[in-house]
Amino acid sequence: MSENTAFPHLAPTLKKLLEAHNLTASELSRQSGISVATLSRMLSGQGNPTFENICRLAHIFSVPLSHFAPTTPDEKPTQSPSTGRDPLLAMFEVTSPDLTEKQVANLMLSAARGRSMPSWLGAYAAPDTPQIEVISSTPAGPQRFHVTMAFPSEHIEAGSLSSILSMLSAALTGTHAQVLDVTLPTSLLRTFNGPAFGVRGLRDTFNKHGRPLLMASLRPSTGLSPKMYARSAFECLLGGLDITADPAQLTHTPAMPWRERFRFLAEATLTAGQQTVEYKAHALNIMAGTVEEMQERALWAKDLDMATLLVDPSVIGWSATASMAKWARNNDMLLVATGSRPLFGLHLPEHLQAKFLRLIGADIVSTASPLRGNVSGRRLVTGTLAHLRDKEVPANPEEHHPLPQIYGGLTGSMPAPGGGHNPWHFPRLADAVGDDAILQVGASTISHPWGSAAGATAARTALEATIQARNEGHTLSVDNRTILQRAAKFSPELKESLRHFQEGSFQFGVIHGSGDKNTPTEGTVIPPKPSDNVTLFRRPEPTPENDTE
Amino acid sequence: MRFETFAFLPPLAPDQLEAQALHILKSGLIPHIEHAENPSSAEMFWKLFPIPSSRIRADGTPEPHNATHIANVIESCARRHPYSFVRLTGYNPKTGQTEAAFIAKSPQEGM
Repeated sequence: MSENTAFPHLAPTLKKLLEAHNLTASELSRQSGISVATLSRMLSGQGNPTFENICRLAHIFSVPLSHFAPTTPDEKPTQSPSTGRDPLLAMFEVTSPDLTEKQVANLMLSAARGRSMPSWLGAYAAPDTPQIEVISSTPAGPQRFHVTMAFPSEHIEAGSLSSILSMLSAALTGTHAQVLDVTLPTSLLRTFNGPAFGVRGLRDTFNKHGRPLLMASLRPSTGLSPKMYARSAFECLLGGLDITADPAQLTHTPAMPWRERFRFLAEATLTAGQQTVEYKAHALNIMAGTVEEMQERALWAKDLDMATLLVDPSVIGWSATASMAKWARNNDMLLVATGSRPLFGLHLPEHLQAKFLRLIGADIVSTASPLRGNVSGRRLVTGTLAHLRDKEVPANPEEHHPLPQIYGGLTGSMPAPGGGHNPWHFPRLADAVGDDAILQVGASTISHPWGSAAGATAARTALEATIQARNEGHTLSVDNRTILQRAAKFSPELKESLRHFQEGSFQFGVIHGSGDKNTPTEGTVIPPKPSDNVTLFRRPEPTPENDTE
Repeated sequence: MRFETFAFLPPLAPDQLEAQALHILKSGLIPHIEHAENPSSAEMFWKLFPIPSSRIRADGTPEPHNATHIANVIESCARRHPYSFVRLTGYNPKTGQTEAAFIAKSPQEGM
């Protein structure tokens, strides 16, 4: 008789069942129709039982067939998988030509657990340790699968984005998967501070209510002296913009030393504030090689009474951004996270970047424009805006966030949709983003034929006319032309702006973060009309920051 | 002096002012009429001008404001303080945000 190798657990399982049902072997034999000799071989763990006999036993004891199945220490069918109380959920997309859903799930699981080979230490791990589990694996198209996994909160550090990202990154390693969405449980979410000010706090501090704010990213980023550069900021602020911002490329060069830049910009902001009696701000780019250096620059900015700091998270990284956000919170300053973030673009969808930036406390986050790109890209922006501002975001696969997220009491970040807007866009833009946003209008402001101040006035007039008409009950998507043309009658700057910029054209900027590189872009970008006037500032050329395609 | 929303538009006509007041009421905002003589960006808190209830109902509750009444109170505030800016704001108790704020009367317009 050979040792029963296929069913090593048959004998003990059968004995337990007999005891539980208070049966003897002969009674079982009578009921099941299996001979006593066969039963005794089974009970002594010898021989190979037939499939028919196993089925009969399962029927008698009314247990599933798998009850007698061989088990290994790694998979215990009797014990349900435990992912802890409040797991973090993440959905991945895996592309594979030859794997089934089950195989894809196993692939992701072994990658995420970091235990793709069996090891002697498996037996040493505490048996009740919460484990990463696959919740669902579904086909999502030809050769594509959506795998949802649960990561136990017990393995994630409180208030640490790197801890979450390292979990995700383990699952991506070697699987060619893409992160689609991540949902934090409320318990974990509350370990993050969120923005210090929030949308309400920012508005109350800036004392600007009832309309979107206007922001311009200054250009050109090279070639100007610090004083001339600060003058361009002054012109924009004086003309009516609320915030100006340094471009991300402007750090520190011999021709543009940061101390001098900061000093002149502080002067420009102060003077513009005094002359307009409005609160004006300039976001100073503090990016540098090390966090210590950035903190030194931030401290200098604080000493100059500047309110706003600017970083590009894809350049300095998540933890450095979180450090600066914490620094800004402690020093009562605002942090602007800007840039198209092309360095993250491949692996983190835009709404997820927005969510993470909100968690670590960026007060203003630049996003793509809801007017640009194809329908899918625009929906993505809608989702991004919701993730920045809302208290609760329901799952919406059409907006590219297939998992819900509850933000609870976390303060919101102010979204700054950007990408070469001109006054023609404002009614539709205000309609799409609502009041709690900062419109980036640098392109049309700086390339206005009469200079930045006139460009800013045109932008502000167009925006206020839009808001007035909306409050009076006009439908912005229908009456957009009428509203602007009526306002152009009393504002020569706006009239010139509407003449110079073509309706539907975008100055420059990006259709970034559409998520799917293969989706063709339906939107047409009409190049602006060449101007016959000499512009005060050179029209900016596409830079890596605003042109990812 | 160009500040607050609608600063870059021509002074609001009476019917436009009433339309904005109506929008504030329809959006469920609490209207405030504020005035200040030499406002600056640092000056966040202007003096409040009370909006009396137009009528008290039989059960003692005040009747909700209507836009015409608010426009009238703005008018009387401007008459009482001829050298002040008069601002109409709307506060949303749900979000804690002031969701509307604009200059309704400026002293240059006269009385």
